[in-house]
Amino acid sequence: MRINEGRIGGQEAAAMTGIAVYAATVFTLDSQTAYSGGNATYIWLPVSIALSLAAVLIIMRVMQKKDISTLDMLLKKSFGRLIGGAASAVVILLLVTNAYFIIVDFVNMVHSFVFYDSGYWEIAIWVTVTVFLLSFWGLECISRTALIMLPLLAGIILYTLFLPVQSYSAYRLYPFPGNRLSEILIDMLDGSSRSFGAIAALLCMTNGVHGMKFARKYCIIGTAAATVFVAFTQLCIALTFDYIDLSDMLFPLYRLGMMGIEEGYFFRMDTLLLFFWMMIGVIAAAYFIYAASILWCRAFGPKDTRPAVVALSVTAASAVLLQAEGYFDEAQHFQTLVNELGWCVITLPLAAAVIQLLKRSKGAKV
Amino acid sequence: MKKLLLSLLLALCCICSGCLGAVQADDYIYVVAIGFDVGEQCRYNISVLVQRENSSDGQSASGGAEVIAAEGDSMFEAITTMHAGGPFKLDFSRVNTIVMSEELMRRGDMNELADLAFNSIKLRQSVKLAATLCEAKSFLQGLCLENAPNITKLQFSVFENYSQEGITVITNYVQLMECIRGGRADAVIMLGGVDPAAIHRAAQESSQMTKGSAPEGGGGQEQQSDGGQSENSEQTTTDGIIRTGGMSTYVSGVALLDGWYMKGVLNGNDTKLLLLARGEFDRGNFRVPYGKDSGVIHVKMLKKPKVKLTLTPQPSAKVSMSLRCTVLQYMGDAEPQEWEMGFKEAAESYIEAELRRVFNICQKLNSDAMCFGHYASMQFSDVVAWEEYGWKAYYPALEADFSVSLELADENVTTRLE
Repeated sequence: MRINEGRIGGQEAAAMTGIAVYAATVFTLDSQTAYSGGNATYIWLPVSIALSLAAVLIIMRVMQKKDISTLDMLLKKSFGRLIGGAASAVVILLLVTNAYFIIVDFVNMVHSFVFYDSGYWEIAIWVTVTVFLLSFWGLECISRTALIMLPLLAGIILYTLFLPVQSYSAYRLYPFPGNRLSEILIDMLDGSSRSFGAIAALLCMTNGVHGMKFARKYCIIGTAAATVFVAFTQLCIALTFDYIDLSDMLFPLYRLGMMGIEEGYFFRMDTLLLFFWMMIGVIAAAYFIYAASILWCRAFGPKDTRPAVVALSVTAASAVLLQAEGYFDEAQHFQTLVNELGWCVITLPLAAAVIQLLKRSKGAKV
Repeated sequence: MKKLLLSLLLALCCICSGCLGAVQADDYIYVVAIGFDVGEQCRYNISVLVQRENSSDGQSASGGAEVIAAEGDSMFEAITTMHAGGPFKLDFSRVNTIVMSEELMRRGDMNELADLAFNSIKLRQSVKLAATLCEAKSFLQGLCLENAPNITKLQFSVFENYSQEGITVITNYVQLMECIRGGRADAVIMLGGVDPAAIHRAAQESSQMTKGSAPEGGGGQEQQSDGGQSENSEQTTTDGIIRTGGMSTYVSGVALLDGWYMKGVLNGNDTKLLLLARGEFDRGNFRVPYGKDSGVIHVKMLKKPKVKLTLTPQPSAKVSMSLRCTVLQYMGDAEPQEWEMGFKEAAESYIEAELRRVFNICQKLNSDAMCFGHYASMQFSDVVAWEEYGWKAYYPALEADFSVSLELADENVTTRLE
């Protein structure tokens, strides 16, 4: 039986959450939408993460007070078995979608920038098998890999941001903020669905982090650190590229590495860096798949996460291959839909938390 | 044990996947520069400067560098023709410069680059761009004349010129596209050419080495038959000043663009002034007329210029800059004690007038090379309003005023040391 996820420490939990938040926001940002209204993602993306964190902290607080250990229990207790199960399924879908977005972005990048002559299938299977293996071996494997890799990955990101320092120009931040306030708020709301999945995934495995109190603490540490990195990354990207160029760019962080024009030790590092970033993507995608699997098991009864990991990995891999095999427009449409309506998923656990709070108030009156 | 074997197998699948379809490194020849010229049969004559990995025959005159050219209506057609004519596979991942002839650039054919799928041939978007007053092919051949594939040497030279003298700029593809698509400024591109005298000297040397006992007059005959180009008729950015030694290929000055179209050129000295106004100047020398004679000052830019730009009622800009200078040479009336007596004001007025002159050249060519559009965009808070404004329509009416303040570096230190 593999429903018990094992135990991980605070540093591992913070590292895992931080990596997932960074991957889900920076790497999977839809450039066309994000930059169509100017170059201010370095403001609204961190704010959207803060919004998600605030939502998760509210849910955690309620769960802690009502002695509810996991997200599926909160949904069941608030909505009942049937609707609670459906709500869990929606959250599972969000988590798998987050994994899919990360995998598809990295497969596209590796295929477009490195292995041009290789088939898409080979690269997709190569990436998804790695994600599957990591999630199959469970929480301890994912979190410890995240902690071991964290210093290296943080260093690599800072190094990448340092590379084009001579190209930074403040005029690229203008027109500032670029969009109207209402449109910026919509962007924030859209962006929050990505980061919410990364932060809320910890709610599915609070037992593994020694309870809600520790989960809350390390969730804040991991998310805060990731938010600083996200803001810094987006600011550096904004200082390097014009918003018009960015709206047409597949992966701005990769392009940063290509801005060096002087032949030297730091030249042509972009391909190498891509493989380090892929580690971030693999860890984050594995985390999402595992979180979705454990939520599935808790909500619908299976006692072993491994079959669920297999099923959800195959689902994500199939979606990746489908978009490459003639369903690209449908995949884009799906991505737009998730961007626009993903925030609705946040309302489900929030509503469940509110219901729990109301139950308490009702009890107090009686 | 089974789990270990399975893990090893899966790990091998991941690690060794790169070995599938591997190509030996020596199956490639590496393209380091691409040149675009007007073709005779087709639209373009595309030449590539290739560098073979040095092997035992590394003693050849061109050190493994070679120019291959083919005509085609697109770059890909020409590449196909080149592939068909050679046993090697061309690899474009090491291309660091794209060179275009003046004729192509003046007719706006640089927009061919915008349609180029850079990833399809592994071309990096940081590739530098150059315009040539001669044929791009001759420019690339000039890089092969020395005893090494000199494109990297040229690059070093360009960087040094750019940073130490400010006589040219470095523009890459991303910066060009930003200027064209963003509409905030016009791109300037490094300008190069071929010194015909150097070609003749090289040809003479080569002829003497191969023929050994050839008469002295042989070199003169080659000079006359070399494509009809003569030293006097060749257009250069060095104002026709004859130089001896160095590579036949040189880089000095910039090509001014209006969108995709090349509209004119600035020589090396004017490029210094352009870079001063853009805030990209590091240090360089200026010869300042004073009285009946002149003095030479070495100028160093410590801070970027301050630009105050107003858009209404008519766009106007006030550029003020503070520069540190050292007087390198006093001649005639320009004497050390004259600095505070009038030489300083003369130098400041001279640089201001020169900046105004270069600005007028750029404005007449409708090229916002001094990047005033950057400051115009800062007046907007909404991208829609900025895009609707259309900066380039207002640029011809821009009035720019330049104010230069020179601060003399402590000369006592250097004097005492001397």
